[in-house]
Amino acid sequence: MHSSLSDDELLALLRAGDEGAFVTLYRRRQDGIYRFALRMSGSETVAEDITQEVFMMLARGDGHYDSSRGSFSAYLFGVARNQALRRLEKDRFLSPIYEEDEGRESSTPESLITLNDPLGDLTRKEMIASVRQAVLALPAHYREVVVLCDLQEMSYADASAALGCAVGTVRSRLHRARALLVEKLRAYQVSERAVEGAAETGRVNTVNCLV
Amino acid sequence: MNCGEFEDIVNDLARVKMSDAASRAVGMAHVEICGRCASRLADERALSAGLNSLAASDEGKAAHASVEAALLEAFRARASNRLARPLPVQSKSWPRWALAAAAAILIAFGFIVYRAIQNEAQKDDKALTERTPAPQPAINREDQVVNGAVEPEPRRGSRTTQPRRGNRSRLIKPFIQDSMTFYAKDREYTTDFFPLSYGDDQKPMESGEVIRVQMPRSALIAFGLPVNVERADVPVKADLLVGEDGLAWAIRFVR
Repeated sequence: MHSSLSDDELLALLRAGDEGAFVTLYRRRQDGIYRFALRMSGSETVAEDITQEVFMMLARGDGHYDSSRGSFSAYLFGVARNQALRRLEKDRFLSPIYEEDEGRESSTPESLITLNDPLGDLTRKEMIASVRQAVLALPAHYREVVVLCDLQEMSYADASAALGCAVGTVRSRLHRARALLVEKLRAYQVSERAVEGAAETGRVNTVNCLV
Repeated sequence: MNCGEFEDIVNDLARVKMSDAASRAVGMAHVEICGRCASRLADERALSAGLNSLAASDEGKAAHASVEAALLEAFRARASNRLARPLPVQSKSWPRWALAAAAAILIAFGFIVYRAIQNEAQKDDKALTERTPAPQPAINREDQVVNGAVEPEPRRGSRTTQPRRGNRSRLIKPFIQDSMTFYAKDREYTTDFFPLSYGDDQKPMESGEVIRVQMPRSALIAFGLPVNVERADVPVKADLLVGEDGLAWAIRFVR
């Protein structure tokens, strides 16, 4: 019954204490919020904390959503963004570690793995890891626009509502962020080639020694 | 299109977000003739591909089920609290603004009274400094003898406090009110008489005399009178009403 309702209608029911509306809103929006937090923080634990905080705010009725300022989804991303920045500020002296393989199954979905091309899968996984590292290495105000616009595929208008800045600011930040990412990925490629070259040289030397 | 203009649209070209087909065509035409911009576009497309792969790798990721359970628990707890909370009733107590206004009025009134006391004290000090003080003995025995009941001479605009037995604290209260209006007698300012008591078995005073003495200024504190800290070491004059038995029945301070 609730699934056919819009976010705003669900929010109105939620404010009246409708548990079903709350559950529907959560299930509809939590994955986007979680992934945004994950991409901002690089930590699944932090992402879950942020997701919980965002929806706890809704459960407590502490939110001040104004539909005239943007969509409910953008509002939730804005709350999540504030939580993420607060968390990043708090943990700024800690090194971000992506918890991909820590007690959880691999983040690469089965659909992306082709059993016929293990080398290609490895390369793809390495490339994804490189991109992920590059995104996490961006300054927060650049990272958030890349996450929202490129990874979450949010429109400039919604991103500007979530970030509380002008559309032009979103565009210019995204332009600069992508330029930084290109530089970083190029540097990764150069270093990887250097490592591969060193490994190849070592292999040749080993072969020579054996001969 | 030049390279600067191409730089403005290269992101949208690579992200395939450009809705303006004409701009897209012009941009692609520029790439055909500009190797640098072609390389730039290739980098951007590679980045877009990497970002798309990253987004796809995260597809299906969601918060653990325990998060939903915790949130539901919190939601239910809040809902039950809301139901258990009594309906708001019209408070019988004053609203906050009224309390704040009353507090402000009280503070203002207190300040006005304080300033009035300070002004009177300053006037008295000024009068005392203007007057040339005549040398007086430390104890000036006046020849005035009061017969019968103790009755200090009535003062204009002030109540006379009769010396009587009883608790001193009960007597101080009206005196403090009177202390705000000092009055003049022969170019001197005196307070009302301040009754002194020595217990309930004291006999009524039938006659006595007034003796001028000097006391440390700190004695004013015992009677709830303000003391000028700057003149704390200057003694204060006082009139003691002494009975036939030699006991002081009342005291008044003189300026």
